[in-house]
Amino acid sequence: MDCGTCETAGPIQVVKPDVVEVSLTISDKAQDMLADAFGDDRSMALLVGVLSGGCSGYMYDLQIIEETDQSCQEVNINGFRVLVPNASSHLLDGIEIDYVDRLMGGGFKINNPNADSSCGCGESFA
Amino acid sequence: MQTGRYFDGHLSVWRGADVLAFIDGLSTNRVHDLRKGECKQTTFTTTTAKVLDRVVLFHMGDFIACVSHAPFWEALHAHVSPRILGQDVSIFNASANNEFYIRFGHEQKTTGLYSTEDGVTIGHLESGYDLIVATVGTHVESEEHLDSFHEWRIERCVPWAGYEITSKHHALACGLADDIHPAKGCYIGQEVLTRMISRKKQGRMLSIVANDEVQPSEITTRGAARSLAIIRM
Repeated sequence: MDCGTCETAGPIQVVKPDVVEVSLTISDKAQDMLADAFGDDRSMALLVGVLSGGCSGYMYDLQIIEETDQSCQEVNINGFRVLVPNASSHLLDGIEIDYVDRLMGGGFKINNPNADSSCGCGESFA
Repeated sequence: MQTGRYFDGHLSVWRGADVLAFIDGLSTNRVHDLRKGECKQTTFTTTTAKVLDRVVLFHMGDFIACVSHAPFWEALHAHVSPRILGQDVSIFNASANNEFYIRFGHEQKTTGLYSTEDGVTIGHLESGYDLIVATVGTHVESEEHLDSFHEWRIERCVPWAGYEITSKHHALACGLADDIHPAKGCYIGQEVLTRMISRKKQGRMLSIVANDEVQPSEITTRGAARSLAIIRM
């Protein structure tokens, strides 16, 4: 096998969607839960990203982080730093971050106007 | 043992720290734990579990070699490419540097492993045949067609790209149940396939039939006396 490293094999053109300036909202309940998670330390940020996979094609990726290597947009909502990677900004513009208080299937939920469908567990969308 | 040239092979080289997790999230088999020296078949499916392509992954150490089928590459690329997002995944086309062969009709002692010698990589696949990827210019003793391979496939109910494996059918109907890992978690198309498996209802299935047993339109690979067909269960 010749892997064609570097010289003979050209990189395959990858679709890179346009970067969108993201607007998003966080529901009151979600803000309460974030306040519990962050405490008084507002130097941390909530990273809202998207990974490939899941039953429907894309999966949400929520993390509390200090910093990231990813190129991100930062949105400040009532003192909460929210980071959105530019690479997935086109999938996240207009989302609402909500919190659902249920014993089963509860937790942070993303309401996404860009999603045509989502899977049963709500973690992935298309 | 026989070897036939496969002209529709396609080789892409996938690099980056996130490659295996990326493929794992987009295809039916568990590949995130693939290790150097191993090869594995997995199937990329749409959200409705229709097949985009069945590929063979070779873990070559610092990259993953993905052997797919040239007629399906455009659709597979269009499916995969926008999903890379910010992940560390780069894909290179190495098809022009390689030739592809199928070796069959011998006893396979080990599967899921490959060997490499003098520019020839031989993957021993769980489907019961070997996939050979040879650097262009390397001599591999072979026939110029796969006619006898298709007769071999019919006797063993082995599906093949462009015959049984097409975008018309979901992975179970194509006879790719062995590619579907039962416990790997979510991937595109998983909900649909899991529902069919748990309800034992998959609509159609790949079967070996006598040539006059089914409608000609249902035959996917016609043999001398028997054929493969995707028929309603």
